[in-house]
Amino acid sequence: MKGSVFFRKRVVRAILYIGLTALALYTLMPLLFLLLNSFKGQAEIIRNPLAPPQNFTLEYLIRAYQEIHFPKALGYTVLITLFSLAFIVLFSSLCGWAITRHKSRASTVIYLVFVAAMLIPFQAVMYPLMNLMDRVGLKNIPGLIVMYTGFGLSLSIFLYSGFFKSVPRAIEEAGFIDGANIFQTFFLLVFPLVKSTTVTVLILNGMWIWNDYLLPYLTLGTSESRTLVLELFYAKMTAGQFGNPWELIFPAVLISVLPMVIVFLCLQKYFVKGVSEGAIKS
Amino acid sequence: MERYYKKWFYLLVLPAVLLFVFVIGLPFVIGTIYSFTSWRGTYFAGGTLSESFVGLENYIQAFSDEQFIHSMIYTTAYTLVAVVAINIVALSFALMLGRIKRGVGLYRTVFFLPNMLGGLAMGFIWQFIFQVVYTDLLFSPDGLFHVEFLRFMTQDTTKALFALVIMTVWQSAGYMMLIYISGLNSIPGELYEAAEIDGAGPIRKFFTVTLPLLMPSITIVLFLTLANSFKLLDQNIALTNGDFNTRLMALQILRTIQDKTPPNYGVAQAQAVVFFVIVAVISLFQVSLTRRKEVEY
Amino acid sequence: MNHNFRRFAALLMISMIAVFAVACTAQDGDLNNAQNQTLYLFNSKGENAEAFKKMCEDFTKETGIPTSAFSVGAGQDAQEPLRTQMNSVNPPAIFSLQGLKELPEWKESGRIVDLSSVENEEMRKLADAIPESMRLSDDGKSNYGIPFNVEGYGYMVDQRMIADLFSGEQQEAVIEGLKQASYEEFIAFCDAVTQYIETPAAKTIEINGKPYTFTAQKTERTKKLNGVFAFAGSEKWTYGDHLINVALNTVFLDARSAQNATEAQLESLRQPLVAYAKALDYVSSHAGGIKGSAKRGNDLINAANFGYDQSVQSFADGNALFLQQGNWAYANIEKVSKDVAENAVFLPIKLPITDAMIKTGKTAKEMNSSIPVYVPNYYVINAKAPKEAQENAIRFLLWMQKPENVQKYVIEAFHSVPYMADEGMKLDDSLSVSIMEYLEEGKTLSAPYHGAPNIWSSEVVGKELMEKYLTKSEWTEDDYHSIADFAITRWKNMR
Repeated sequence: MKGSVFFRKRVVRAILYIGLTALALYTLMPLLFLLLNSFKGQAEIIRNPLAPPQNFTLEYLIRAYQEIHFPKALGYTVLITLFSLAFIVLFSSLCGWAITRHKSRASTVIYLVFVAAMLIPFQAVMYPLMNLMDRVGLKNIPGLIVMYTGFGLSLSIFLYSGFFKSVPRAIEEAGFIDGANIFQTFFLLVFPLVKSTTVTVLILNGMWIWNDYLLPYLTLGTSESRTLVLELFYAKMTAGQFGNPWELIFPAVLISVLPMVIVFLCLQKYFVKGVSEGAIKS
Repeated sequence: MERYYKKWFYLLVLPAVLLFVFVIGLPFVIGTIYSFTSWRGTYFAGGTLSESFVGLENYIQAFSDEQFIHSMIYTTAYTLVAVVAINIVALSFALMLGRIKRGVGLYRTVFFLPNMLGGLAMGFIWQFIFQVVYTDLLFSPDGLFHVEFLRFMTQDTTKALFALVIMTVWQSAGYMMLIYISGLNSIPGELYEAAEIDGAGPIRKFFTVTLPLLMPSITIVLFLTLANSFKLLDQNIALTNGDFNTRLMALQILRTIQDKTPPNYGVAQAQAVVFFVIVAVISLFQVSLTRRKEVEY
Repeated sequence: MNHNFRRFAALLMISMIAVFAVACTAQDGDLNNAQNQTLYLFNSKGENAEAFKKMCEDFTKETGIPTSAFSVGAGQDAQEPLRTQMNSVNPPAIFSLQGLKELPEWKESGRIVDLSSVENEEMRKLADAIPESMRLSDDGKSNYGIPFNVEGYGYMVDQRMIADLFSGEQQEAVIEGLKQASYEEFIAFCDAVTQYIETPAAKTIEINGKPYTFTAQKTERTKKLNGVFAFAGSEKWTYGDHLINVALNTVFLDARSAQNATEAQLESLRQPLVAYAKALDYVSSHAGGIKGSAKRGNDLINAANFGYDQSVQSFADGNALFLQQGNWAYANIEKVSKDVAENAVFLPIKLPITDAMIKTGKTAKEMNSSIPVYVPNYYVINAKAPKEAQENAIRFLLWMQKPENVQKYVIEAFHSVPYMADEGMKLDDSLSVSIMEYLEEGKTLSAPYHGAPNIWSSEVVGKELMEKYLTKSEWTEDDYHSIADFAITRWKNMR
């Protein structure tokens, strides 16, 4: 009896692994394509995108690294992304918490407005927004951070308010009884419980801020301070009116994505099971 | 307790609300006002803002544009298919990963990776996948299986819709998976234990514990996929650029600007407002519907 | 936990202070700029971004006027950033326009200075000296812009390929013959090449009335040929804008007359457009490609095999004899093969037109031995910029058009052909030289497609051709007529 349950579990697990591996391979195909073509010249990419590189060379990666001024651009991108993320997490977690805990007409309206804002196409606010930013002297990197924070709030508040609901109020009540003020209660007791949501917020926002093109383009343009994506577009633009310098684009995309992959790998360990369960115990 | 929250409520939401008003609220209101004018992007045809009000003319023009109506229908069709597909795939990813122990991190990374690949490289890669890999290698008469539907997918209105779905599922299933995982993580383990003691099997556990407690995540993911599908632009440009009658809403609005000279931003803005209202009504309806099913402590 | 919280709070404070500090200093910077009257420039020839910046810096060095340039890639992408720049506190004093098409918007907004009526006499002189056909003008009197450069396009051919197909010493004669040849002779030549690719034989053909004999054996170079034309089926603009433009030249002398086209003129486009459809039929069914000779059908509009990059590749690798492109492709070709780029010259694009179809006074022979050469972009002055900025803008344009600066920047740095070439100027590449030869002989056509309704050529006609015709293997006489009919009807509806 016990043996058959054990056996069944193993079969299920084997099937799961086979399925997951097949899906993973399918998912990896286009990325493999990127990898393969990061080591090839233009002609080789155009003629045989699927074939492995004829001779392995780091030449194209090194050139791309130089052409997009990697260290400098990375610096700008990291600066912008980090600050935006810090503000997003701070403001949206507070706001999300407040609107889940305090039920009133105001909180519902705020919630719905934030949710609805996710549906506004960027093009619909682009010109008035850029004009506004320009008038208050924020058509620069700090301004970019302000805009990212503004755009990132909706999704994050939405996520946080969804997850604060599953955080038992009992913990907070205990905090208040012990005499903690509202910020202490929030940052010391509540905030740690939604760690996996915070990580989700960080990853999801970090992703699009890192890869965004239009906002930095409209604010920073071709000035000297260029983010990674801007550098890539700039390099493409200077390569010719028509056509695409694929031998530069593929390796450049590869190296500008790498930092994000590393961060993702590091952050993932926070996706641990049973967060609130552990918290109740402590 | 309530009083305590109430006292601090405004201070806590203030920074977010201020930023929001400045970055999205105000510009959107200004944009909406512009939709009633003959705005040209950098000036108002016929003088100043107050002199250039045209009433509902831009809205009438938007609705009498066949292409705009077609793009609304096409976007809705795409959204229906994409939302279902992305959610099923994302939830399956999350559930499968919840059942295994070794290599979870690796699989999670792999499934999420496509999200990091945007912009310039995307167009080339997917053109190549659909036009060469699918068309000549996998599904051609002398390929792996012959499936005519999967060939030349970028050259037909219906096929392109599914090509877009294939591409967006690949891109965003991993993203939505993350939200499902963090939702699954917040389900207290003792609930499962309790269910097990009651003698529930895996299927009953899924329907009585997982699904109800996952409702907040489902609300979020449904909403996000809905919003993203309605707003989809880059992928549309990368794949067909609107050829073969495949313009989605966002691209249609963009083209409304580019197709005329001087560009008629008033009409484009009116289209954006119409589009926003439609999507908002559908989405808020969906949110309130799924939120009612959520369990709260 | 408490420790963590304090760290978090401290980090937060620091970051807030940092952002405000940066914000404030940045604002100070802006104020300083305003005092120095920086000249803001908007350049839509993005490929020259680096060189353009260098030019602005040199200008600042010489004159002391600070400059700030914003560059974007050409085409539709340039419009959105231009508009946001125009909405900004410091709008550009000089910006660029892609000819007549983009003029109405900026004219209506009152942002364009008529250069023929500015106070600065030197500027008026410079503007008056622009050849009539190259002026940016919607009524023939006004004169709104200084041309960037001129561009030209045609069928590019690697001269060594011709040398190898015939005999080395006949190379020049054959090229000259092909330039002069009628459409029928040209097609006969292309047929012969198609046949030669399959079975090489010492066949004799007549080009422009003179006999030439193919070499019996293929060389290393001619072995690679698999088609006559490198064709970019997924690039609507190649046949939508550029090829159709040749047909429009039969009725319209320039973009302005196309913009003011009469009903009768549009009707008289019918025969030339049928001729255009026939020529496109021939070209698209004699295409070579990176993967062997191509058949018309779904595959021909496949961007992964028949995009711009792929067509350049197949030409530069010698898979196809001709490539219909302009001198802008030089850099792309050079990247694949420097030798091919250095040996490439233009042949005219030919259509099966007769003298009777042409309303401009030219003959069919003249048209079929000319290539389109036109101004792709103009510098214009923003009438809403502050007075002093406008004056600086004039100084900049005058400085830039000094012959020594034209040589230094337009030719050497931008690798392009100046709109007014001086005797002393030395051109940079083979394709530019080829354009100059046509210009000197007066064998040029213009760009009336710039005067057609916006997006008519590429997004309407080009799109129709791509979606309905290039995917179809056989075209009938009826197809030619429905193509012409579609093009004319849509033009009328779009006005």
